[in-house]
Amino acid sequence: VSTVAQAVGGVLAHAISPITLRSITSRLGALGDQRARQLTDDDRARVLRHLDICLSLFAPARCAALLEECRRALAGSPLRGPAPAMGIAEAAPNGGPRRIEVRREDDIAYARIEALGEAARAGFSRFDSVKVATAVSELARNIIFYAGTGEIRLAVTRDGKGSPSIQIQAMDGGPGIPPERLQQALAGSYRSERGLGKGLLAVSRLADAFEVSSATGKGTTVRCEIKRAT
Amino acid sequence: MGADRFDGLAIVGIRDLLLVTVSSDFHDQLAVRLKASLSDRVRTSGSRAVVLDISAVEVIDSYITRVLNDIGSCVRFMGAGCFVVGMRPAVAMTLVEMGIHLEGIRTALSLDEAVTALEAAR
Repeated sequence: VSTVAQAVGGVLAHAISPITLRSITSRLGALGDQRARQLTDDDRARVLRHLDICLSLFAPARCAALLEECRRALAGSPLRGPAPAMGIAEAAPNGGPRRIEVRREDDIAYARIEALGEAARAGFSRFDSVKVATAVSELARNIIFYAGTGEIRLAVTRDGKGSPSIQIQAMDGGPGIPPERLQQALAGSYRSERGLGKGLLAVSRLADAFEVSSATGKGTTVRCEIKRAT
Repeated sequence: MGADRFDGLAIVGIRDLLLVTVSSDFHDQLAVRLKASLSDRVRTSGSRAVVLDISAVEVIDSYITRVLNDIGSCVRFMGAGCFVVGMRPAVAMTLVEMGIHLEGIRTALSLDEAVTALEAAR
């Protein structure tokens, strides 16, 4: 008997891209590690509801057919014993920031999808969500190109009126950006081979608040905030 | 390439047109692979125009824009036309806010519009 992640992955691997699949299975969280046959009907419904949301976003044309296949893959003998108290991993459990490791080029697209979902859950419109995802994409790419590895944290905060904003923090332990180069980049007068200047400048234009701290040899941290437009 | 195997790119030749449909997550490797394979396809197929359908793409950042610009310039250098069609409004607005331009490539609302423009140019 396979786990939920394997069963679902087996069905979806041929239909959607590996990165989208990774995003979906990672969101299944603890439930994904459960053996498919041990799920309660409730668990199964939760997995399918979650898949429905993801598939309607990333494979709308084939959503219904794929969902039906997943349903079949998950249908096993009914559960014996008490239901495990596990849910689909929601973003930012106990209100902490969502951490996305950035190690490979794939992670850029993964971070993008995660940011899109995070912003949508926080109540951002489609347009504002795309803004957040684009900023995250730029920052993740800078990490890969210039530092090799790093991390992106996404946190949702709310102002007095309850209107959400997303705090993006991109950290790496790379070579750092020399102060004069950073200044040029943000003034639009510096362009590196791979376009770091463009990327940082672009993020600063998208963000409502933007801050870079960088120390040569110690790494770079970019913090920015994008508010939901009201 | 099996029909059911996902590789994120579909390149279809119709008459003297190469239609490229890009999947929802247009990631870096896909973009670079497209850049490499497309010019070959233009040459071998003798197509007069390339149309990139990006209507499924949710997020486009400065790097992907640069790859699109490169593809457009390259195809034009080879003597064919190049169009990007179906960009989502949120993507377009975000690129404008970021101050990024599509310099090397023409755009159209839809595939239909692109074909009409190409025929008019003949």
